[in-house]
Amino acid sequence: MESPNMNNHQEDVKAKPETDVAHINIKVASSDNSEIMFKIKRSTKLAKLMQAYCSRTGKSTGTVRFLVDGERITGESTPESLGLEDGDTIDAMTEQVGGGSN
Amino acid sequence: ALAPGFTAELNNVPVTAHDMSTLGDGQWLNDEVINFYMQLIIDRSQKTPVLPRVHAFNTFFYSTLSEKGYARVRRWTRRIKLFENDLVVVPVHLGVHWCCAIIDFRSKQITYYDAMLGDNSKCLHLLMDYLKEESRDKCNQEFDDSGWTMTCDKKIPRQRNGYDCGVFAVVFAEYAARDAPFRFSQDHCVLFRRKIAYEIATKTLISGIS
Repeated sequence: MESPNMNNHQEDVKAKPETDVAHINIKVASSDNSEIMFKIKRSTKLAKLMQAYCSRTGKSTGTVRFLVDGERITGESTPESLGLEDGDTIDAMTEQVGGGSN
Repeated sequence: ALAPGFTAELNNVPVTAHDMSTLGDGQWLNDEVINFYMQLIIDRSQKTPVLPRVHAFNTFFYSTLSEKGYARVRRWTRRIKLFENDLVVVPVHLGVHWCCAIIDFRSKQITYYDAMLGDNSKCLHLLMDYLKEESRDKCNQEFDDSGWTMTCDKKIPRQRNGYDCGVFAVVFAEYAARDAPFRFSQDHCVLFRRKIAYEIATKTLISGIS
């Protein structure tokens, strides 16, 4: 269910058939420089993308941190709520641990 | 002991029971614990006007800057004014080791703290280059590096085991963020682990004005 949004009139939401404005491409970049493109609805919770990324890369969800411009994002956020545009990047960082010198 | 489902969150930075377990004796601290603690340091600074104005980066800042360059961290400061701080804390993750660098705009110093007394001039120069790029990008002016010194400080409390470096890194940052001298030693780390866990669980740093 969509939450009511003042700027989001029902008429504007309908996608024109030839230009797909409801979906955007998001690049997920990992710390080892690999990148995966995802096509996602602007209104879809990013939890879906996070799960898809982890299952695609075989990583456990608990060990990946998703960041936009250095800030942690939660699965509850959507491309819309974060202001993500087509082609924007989400960084997928891997858990870091440390105890002593190499 | 914390319930298995324990979680806390501050500015979207979460910690789970698993993360908290890395504060157990002999365990290696993970990024989540350190990143949550950095939020606590920022939070205290904002709420306590007599303390230095502090920005603390997360643990991914240094790795991204060093591996991918300035362009990939350029937007990380878009919500803050970096140069209006007194201090900037930079946690440094090196493979399996945690260190901490501090940029002090008041005394014009970049200092690197490694509890195993390692050298890292690469880090110091990367941070100086970062300040120059950031100044060009955000302030549209060249950063004046005259009078600045860069040091790997060796007169600091020293780690004497293979697991407490994260504790030292966090405590160096917390002490520096209130201009407190590093009057502690390896012997305090067991207590520090409990203190850090308590501070995360209560979302408040115990030490205020030093």
